[in-house]
Amino acid sequence: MKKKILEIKDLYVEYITEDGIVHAVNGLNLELEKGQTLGLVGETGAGKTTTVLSIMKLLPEQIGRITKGTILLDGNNITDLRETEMQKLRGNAVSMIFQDPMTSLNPVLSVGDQIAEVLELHQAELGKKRIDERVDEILDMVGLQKERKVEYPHQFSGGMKQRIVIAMALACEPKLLLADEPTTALDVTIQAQVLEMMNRLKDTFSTSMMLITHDLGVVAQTCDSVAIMYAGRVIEQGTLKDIYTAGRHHPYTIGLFNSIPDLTKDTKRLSPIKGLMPDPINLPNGCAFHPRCPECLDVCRYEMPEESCYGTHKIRCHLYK
Amino acid sequence: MKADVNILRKTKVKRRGQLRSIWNRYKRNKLAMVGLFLMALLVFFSLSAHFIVDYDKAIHQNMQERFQEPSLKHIFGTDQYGRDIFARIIHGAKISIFMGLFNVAIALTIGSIIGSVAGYYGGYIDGIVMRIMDVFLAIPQTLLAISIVAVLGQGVINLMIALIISAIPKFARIVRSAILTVRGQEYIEAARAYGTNDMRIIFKHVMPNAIGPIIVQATLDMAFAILSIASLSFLGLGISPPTPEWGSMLSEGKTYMRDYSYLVVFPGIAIVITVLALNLIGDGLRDALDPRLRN
Amino acid sequence: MSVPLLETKGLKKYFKTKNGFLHAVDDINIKIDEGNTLGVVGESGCGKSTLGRTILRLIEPTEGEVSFNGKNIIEYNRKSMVAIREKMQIIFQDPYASLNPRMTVGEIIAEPLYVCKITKGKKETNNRVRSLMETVGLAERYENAYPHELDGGRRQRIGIARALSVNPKFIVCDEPVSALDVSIQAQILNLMMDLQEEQKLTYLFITHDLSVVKHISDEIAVMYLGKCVEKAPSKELYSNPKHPYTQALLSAIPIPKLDQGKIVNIIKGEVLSPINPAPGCRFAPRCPYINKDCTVAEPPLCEINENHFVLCTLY
Ligand SMILES: Nc1ncnc2c1ncn2[C@@H]1O[C@H](COP(=O)(O)OP(=O)(O)OP(=O)(O)O)[C@@H](O)[C@H]1O
Ligand SMILES: Nc1ncnc2c1ncn2[C@@H]1O[C@H](COP(=O)(O)OP(=O)(O)OP(=O)(O)O)[C@@H](O)[C@H]1O
Ligand SMILES: [Mg+2]
Ligand SMILES: [Mg+2]
Repeated sequence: MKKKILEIKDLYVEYITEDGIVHAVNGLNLELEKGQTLGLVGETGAGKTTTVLSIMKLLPEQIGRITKGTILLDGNNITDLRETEMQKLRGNAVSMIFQDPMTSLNPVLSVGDQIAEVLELHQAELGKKRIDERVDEILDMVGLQKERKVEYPHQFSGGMKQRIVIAMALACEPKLLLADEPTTALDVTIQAQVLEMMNRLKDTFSTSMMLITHDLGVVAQTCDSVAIMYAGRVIEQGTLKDIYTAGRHHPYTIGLFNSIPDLTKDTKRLSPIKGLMPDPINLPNGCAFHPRCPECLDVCRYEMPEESCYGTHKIRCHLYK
Repeated sequence: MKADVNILRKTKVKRRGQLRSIWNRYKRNKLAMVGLFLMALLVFFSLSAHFIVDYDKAIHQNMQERFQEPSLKHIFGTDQYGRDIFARIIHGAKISIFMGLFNVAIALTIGSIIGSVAGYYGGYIDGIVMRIMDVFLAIPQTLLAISIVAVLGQGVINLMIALIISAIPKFARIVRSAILTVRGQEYIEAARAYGTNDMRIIFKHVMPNAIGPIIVQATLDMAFAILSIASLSFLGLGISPPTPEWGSMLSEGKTYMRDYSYLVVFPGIAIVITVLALNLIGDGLRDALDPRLRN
Repeated sequence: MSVPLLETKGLKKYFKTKNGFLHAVDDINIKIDEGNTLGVVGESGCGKSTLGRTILRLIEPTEGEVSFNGKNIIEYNRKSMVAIREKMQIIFQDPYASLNPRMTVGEIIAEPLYVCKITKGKKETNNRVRSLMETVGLAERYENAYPHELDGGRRQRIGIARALSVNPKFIVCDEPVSALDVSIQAQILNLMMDLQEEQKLTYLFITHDLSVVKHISDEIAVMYLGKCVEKAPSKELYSNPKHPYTQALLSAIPIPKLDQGKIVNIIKGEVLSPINPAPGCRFAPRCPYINKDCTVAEPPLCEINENHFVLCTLY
């Protein structure tokens, strides 16, 4: 059996707000093998970011907390790790690309300095001159001219800032990379370039990756397995083939695929899944998807479906037993 | 698409007051509440000083009762002129706390205006204004205050003016840098896109987001003001002798510290408590004002 | 012929940087008729957002004209500019960065109403905020929420509600859906198309997602390093892309199907620096069809078909 770099078992995370308790993650199970890439897909508000923040242990203090479950990183339980120990892991063992590139850059430091700072923190042995060269290399990798390293974040476009954030995360060559929607602001050609760069990283340093995205095309190109999240749970997971080939699927997955604008067809209106993500303060009973589900059964209204396994393919739906 | 609306239509929403939710957030911070309690106590004492002990006791010299150790009659003891230290501390609170507050309020207002104009407009306005501020910053704050008092002449008002002028550059600098970090944000641009004027942008959009470091600086500066009043009084440039004031008590007591330590211990404690309370309040306020840290 | 609602003539924006002038927007000429949508696509950093911002005069252009309803707004003074701002709005790319984190959803939407004096009194404002929230599909409960507590889709709805609050005629949509998942993306796009129909809105729709822009645009302009390299009606562009960059862009769209192969057609070669760019075609260093004319002078603009313009030496 292959070694697992990441294992999440029965994770529950909630946020405490003035309006009530937000149940962001509700019993999530995930596994990631070494050197593999997992695509995490799901509607906005499904709890994808919350999941990776829990792995990094960067949930907002006092507000967000893990109420149940364990997270194993490379076989070690990190659920109860103290902040000082966690700091040692961040960057080297596990690194994260944040979702909002604009807010994770320091507006008053030039981008070159910011990348250099990351390198100094994690690879101090390189020495000043070598670090300077590395900064140039890294910028080049993400398609930015190295002369522009003296400029400040506000002088770059949205996509460029996103590339800088990616560059910073890749700079320290982590064992596990958690990429939270890293390519949303990039056009297809640059996106292809960035994804290729990540793949290369995966090959050279056998980095494992968790790629959060809503672009099913990107998933098809880069991932080995896929997990689809809805309302804080994984409702379907499997290998790329399991998910992308026709057969048994969760109705939500089917809806997701139908919402993709199809270039080959000539329809004016798009066909999204009806309704919105349920209010996480007040989740519906039974299957959380039932109010929007076109194939809702009676049991769905009061009973949470169990996971049914078909080899590597797992689905959580009453339609399949 | 309208599902979201329909499901939740039933739950009636009340508009929560801004102040109320700030208070709710503040309340949960225990240390900040301790700070607030201490401050309330100090303010209470200073406001009701006249009802607790006679002002006379604080200034009237009574040579028979010099250097009395703390006892039931004089709970904090008496000083070298036989004045009751408890009375002097209570009456001194008024001067120290209110002068401190007043100083910070004015310096903060003026400093913020200068700093926000410089930070928001940038360019040569920024250059000129901040270079002037730099000149002031280059002179140690206490020295600057001393020189101003020396020029204007002694007196409480002049002392305040001196302290305010010497505190303005620090505020201007902090406000400017705080504003620089939020100026480029997209929500500022959005506000400009619907025609918000500059004043409103600064006060409604920029300032609230830049307030954290400014509040911390304000509480620190208030502590500094209390200490400065003390040291200037000691140099004979501030509050004139019989008036009770913590700083001057401290410096007068210094001479006798070896034999009668309580002469400096009690005013010292009073200053420490005030400063501590202010810092706790400052930290709590900074967090309470940030809805992202809402709890 | 009727006057287009929005027109730019020779619009240029150069940023001054430490190494020289950065040509972010370089001589852009576009026209949008009322009720239509012009899609702008292009590489990250090619100047799409800058174009949108200069049109709204959030950044002052270096040169050129922007006419709104036939009048050049670049010449407007402060006061007339404030008046016209109500008519032109913007929806930002990053739904988080564009919302003030210290204001609640209700306050964010009410702010333009107050500033532009659209509603009088608290009650009218509140009603209008509620109805706007309903228009964009936000539950009333969120009136008191802060942006950081919401997910991306709801945040973007706030941005849309804010833009709509002042009854604009023209909206610059700067990648409004790129941060959203496919299902919400489809909802928001449908919403925007509905609003366009109801309120006769005109959009300048900036995106890098070619599959999105096809659905919403009547015409599409492709930008590359500050230049508009190709402009054509939506259908025409997809069926008959002419410029090598457009072709590359179309072929790089990741397709959500298996067995498409993991290797995509990545454009090779160094990107030309936008700072003091060399003369000639800006795509030349990466172009597979490069010939000697390309690096000498600016390629001419040719009209291949009706309304289909290309900036390339090949034609
Ligand atoms: N700081 C917070 N306070 C309160 N609620 C929060 C907070 N952060 C997130 N939430 C809520 O938790 C839920 C899950 O959010 P999360 O950010 O994990 O979603 P996501 O799957 O990453 O969505 P997106 O695709 O939009 O990024 C959402 O309903 C969100 O409103
Ligand atoms: N304030 C500024 N100062 C200097 N340069 C700037 C400034 N704003 C933008 N630029 C530069 O102008 C160019 C175009 O930027 P712009 O934001 O318009 O790109 P974009 O097409 O919107 O890209 P994206 O798709 O990544 O958002 C970039 O090279 C950027 O670095
Ligand atoms: Mg997220
Ligand atoms: Mg942009």
